[in-house]
Amino acid sequence: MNNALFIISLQHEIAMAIGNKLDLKDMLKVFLKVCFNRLNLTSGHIYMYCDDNGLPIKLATQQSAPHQHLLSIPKMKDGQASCADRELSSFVKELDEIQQPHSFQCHNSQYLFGFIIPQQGLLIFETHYPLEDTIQKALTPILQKLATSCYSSIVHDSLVQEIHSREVAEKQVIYHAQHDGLTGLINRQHLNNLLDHAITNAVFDSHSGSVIFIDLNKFKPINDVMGHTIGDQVLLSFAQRLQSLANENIDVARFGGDEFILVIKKLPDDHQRVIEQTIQKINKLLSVPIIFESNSYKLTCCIGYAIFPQQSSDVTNIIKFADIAMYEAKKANTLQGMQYHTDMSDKINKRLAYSDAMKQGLTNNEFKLYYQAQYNHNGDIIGAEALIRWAHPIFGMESPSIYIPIAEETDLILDIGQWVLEQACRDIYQLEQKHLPTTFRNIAINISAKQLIQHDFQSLILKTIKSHNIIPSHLTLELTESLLIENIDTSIELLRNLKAENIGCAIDDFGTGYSSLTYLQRIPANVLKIDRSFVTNIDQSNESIAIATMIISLGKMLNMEVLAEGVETSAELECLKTLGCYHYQGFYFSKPMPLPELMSLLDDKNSGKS
Amino acid sequence: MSSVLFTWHNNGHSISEFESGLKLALSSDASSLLILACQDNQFTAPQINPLLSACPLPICGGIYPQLIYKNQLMEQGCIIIGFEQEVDISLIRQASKLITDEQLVEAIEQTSLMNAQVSSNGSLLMFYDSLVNNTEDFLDCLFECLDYQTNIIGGGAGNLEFKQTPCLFTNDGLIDDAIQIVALKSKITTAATHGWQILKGPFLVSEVDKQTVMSLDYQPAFSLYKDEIESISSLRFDESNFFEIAKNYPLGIQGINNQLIVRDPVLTKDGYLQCVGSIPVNSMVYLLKGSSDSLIAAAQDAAIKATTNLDASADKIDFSATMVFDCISRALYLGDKFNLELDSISKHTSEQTLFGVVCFGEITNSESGAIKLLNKSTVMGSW
Repeated sequence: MNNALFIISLQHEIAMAIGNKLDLKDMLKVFLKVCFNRLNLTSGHIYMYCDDNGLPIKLATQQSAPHQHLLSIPKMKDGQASCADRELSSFVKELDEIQQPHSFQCHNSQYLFGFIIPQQGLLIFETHYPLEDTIQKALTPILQKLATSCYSSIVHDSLVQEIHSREVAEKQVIYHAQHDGLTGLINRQHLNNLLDHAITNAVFDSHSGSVIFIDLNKFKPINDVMGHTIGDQVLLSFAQRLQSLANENIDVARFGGDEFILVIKKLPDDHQRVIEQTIQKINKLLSVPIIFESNSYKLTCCIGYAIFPQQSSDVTNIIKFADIAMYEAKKANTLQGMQYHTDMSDKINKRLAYSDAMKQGLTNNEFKLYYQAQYNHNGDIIGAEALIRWAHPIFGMESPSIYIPIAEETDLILDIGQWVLEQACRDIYQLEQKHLPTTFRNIAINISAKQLIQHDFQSLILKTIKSHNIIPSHLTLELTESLLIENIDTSIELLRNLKAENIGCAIDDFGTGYSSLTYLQRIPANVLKIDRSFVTNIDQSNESIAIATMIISLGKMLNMEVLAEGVETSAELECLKTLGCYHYQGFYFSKPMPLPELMSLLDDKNSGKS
Repeated sequence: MSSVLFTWHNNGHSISEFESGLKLALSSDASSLLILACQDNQFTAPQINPLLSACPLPICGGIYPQLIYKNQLMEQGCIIIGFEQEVDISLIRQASKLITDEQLVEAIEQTSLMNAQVSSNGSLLMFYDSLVNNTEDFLDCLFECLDYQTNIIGGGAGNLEFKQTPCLFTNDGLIDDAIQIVALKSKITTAATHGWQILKGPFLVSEVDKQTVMSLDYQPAFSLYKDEIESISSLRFDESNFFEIAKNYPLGIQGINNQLIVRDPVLTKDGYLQCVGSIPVNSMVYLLKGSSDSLIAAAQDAAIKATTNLDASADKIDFSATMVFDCISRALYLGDKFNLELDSISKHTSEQTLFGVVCFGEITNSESGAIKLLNKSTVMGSW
């Protein structure tokens, strides 16, 4: 009676140990531990039937599959894994073949008892005593229950695996939605969310934070000259360095192109110190050149920053303010970083209004072309430089030194450039209708950087010349030395093509760009214009004389004419003549004047009045 | 070999006496020290820690209610044992915070125990704070991680006030809530007996939560326990005498081959029986009884078994030490007759140093090899 009770209690206890965990291995471990304690085992082992990927499966009827070791208690025997025991291995093999309960007495007098977990695997007990038949039989219904539980766990495990895979996929989707594809930094959209959250916290907790806007200087030439692959690598290297500043309080994002943003979520009371330290750290990151494919790239950056919520609690505005401050830092050519001030916005707003007024001015024909005649040493007019003037309805005559840089910041310079080209061609046409002096060669117009890099600039010029039906050689282009050098390949190709069409080129402001002779030799220009800074008081400055002499020799060497700008006195003229410069432009000869006045001047020259 | 090279004991309870013993141990050729102290010495951490941290040799051991030296029961004093070779001591701190099997296995695998690779010729001594609340889970995981059939003996340290105080000796000082495992480079011959016999049963453990038995045969556990004892004796339970009566009537879990694992009911609350050591649900338990004679005879059996060289070809016994872990409840049950138990043990250990502790819970391997927490038992090991 007691034995029957014992077996029932044993059966009950072991059965109750099944299915207590969802994970297959955990579930079987609980089961094996209870068997261990209740059956006084020496060791216990479980093998499962597995698919080709080594994952446990439930066998279909008549199906066979290899078994794999899943679990042993204890794990080790004689310094190796328990399952590596030779007697155990051959017993397991035999058990799998006969597919029914089996026992074996080992050489050390221990016993092995094997059971089949139906359609799932094999269960092996090692004991120091023979397990009674009644107990072995009592285990049979338990094994069926264990098989059912194994199957549930396998299904559970595969669901867990599926959920895990889905979570991984979802995480990837979320990651890609929130991070920049190239650098892995937070992208602009996610930055907006994080910043919004940081601003809300700052308002709620009454603390400050900062948006630091970083723009790499002269990154574009790397992309243009070395190609986008190198450019991307440089951006990636910088992003990785910048990421080293990220922590719980600092988010690092790529805003776009070569622009990056750091958000400091919480600043201490002495926030200026922390921001300055951060800016120093950013600059330090760039102090070591970026090396890629044995090329070294030394970069700098401009930094602007704004404080939230004090300067704004709006995400778009605070980023815009930091951007404006960065822009000001760039203009000021400083690496120290600049904090946003409202006057910066005022300035920008004024610029925008000014820009609008310029647009309006173009429409309302407020712009005029003035011409400053150019002379040879005999006093003959050899041409003129077209200079734009804006008669503002309120401010009167505006200086080009104010509105041209503003126009250059926007695409308005293209509109203005095109207007100048059209108007100059119209005026040239008018001049051509007159009897021009034989010495007269051309009208020069100034070309801006943005015009030069327009992909259709050449065809625009040729088309305009054609449409106005003028002689191409009557138009010449003036490009500054620095503009030519920055866009050397484009410039050379363009000028060569235009030269073939008899359109000339003058290099403006020569002497200020320190261009190398090698470059200069390649530029198919006709004229070198000595910058006015070397002409003013040249008669009193040995240094200016030396530079002018050098430019004049260079012109001779490269077969270019040399024209001195800004000649204002006879002493300057005489000095230039002595040095061998025979073409001039400047107030000494004539001021810039409207076309009718130029035409009168030419008439006078023709008639020998002056 | 981890033979005992140095032995010192003293019945004095002062720190200075302990310090002089420690000095002697350090002047010997011992490579590691096992320190055992009586709770009545009332050593405190501030007193003893400077001595422990200044000790250049690896230290292990603990504070126990009483110590055993030869056939003498020590109420006060210390025993210092010096091992010939340095022993590897693994320490698991904050053991009660290790709750899951994963945490326990990780803690074990991080100890030097795994690096020490206890070979088939090595054995373990285990000293632990008896108020660590997951000792049996720890033992299961230890068995799982250790090599097949590594012999181990051990016992729970602490005090009779059942208040957690620092009770393990380490080179960092006295600590609590920890388990210390000492890897000897000698094979231990172990034995464990209890001498308790079936009085009534079996009863089905119908409801249990680890060490708390809620119902037996679907009846409130204490109610059944009380009725059964009162029906066969003149003893009557009242509000204050539970342990006085219960120490005579432990429970015994029936194992597969009719062996009994003793579980000591130490208190009753809300009609439940709180035992030292877990009792599985759906297992069968018996009400046990003992007698001085049966307990003493059992202790003698253990002594004979633990001091018999398993190598039949060896012509002489060459153990250097025999260590005893005897349950405090046996000492309480036997009272003055506990000395007879010690006599019955010591007469089999004339050649080697006999020492030990009276402890809370005894640890050893079962016949199958698994590591078990025992109650009311005598565990012995010779090496």
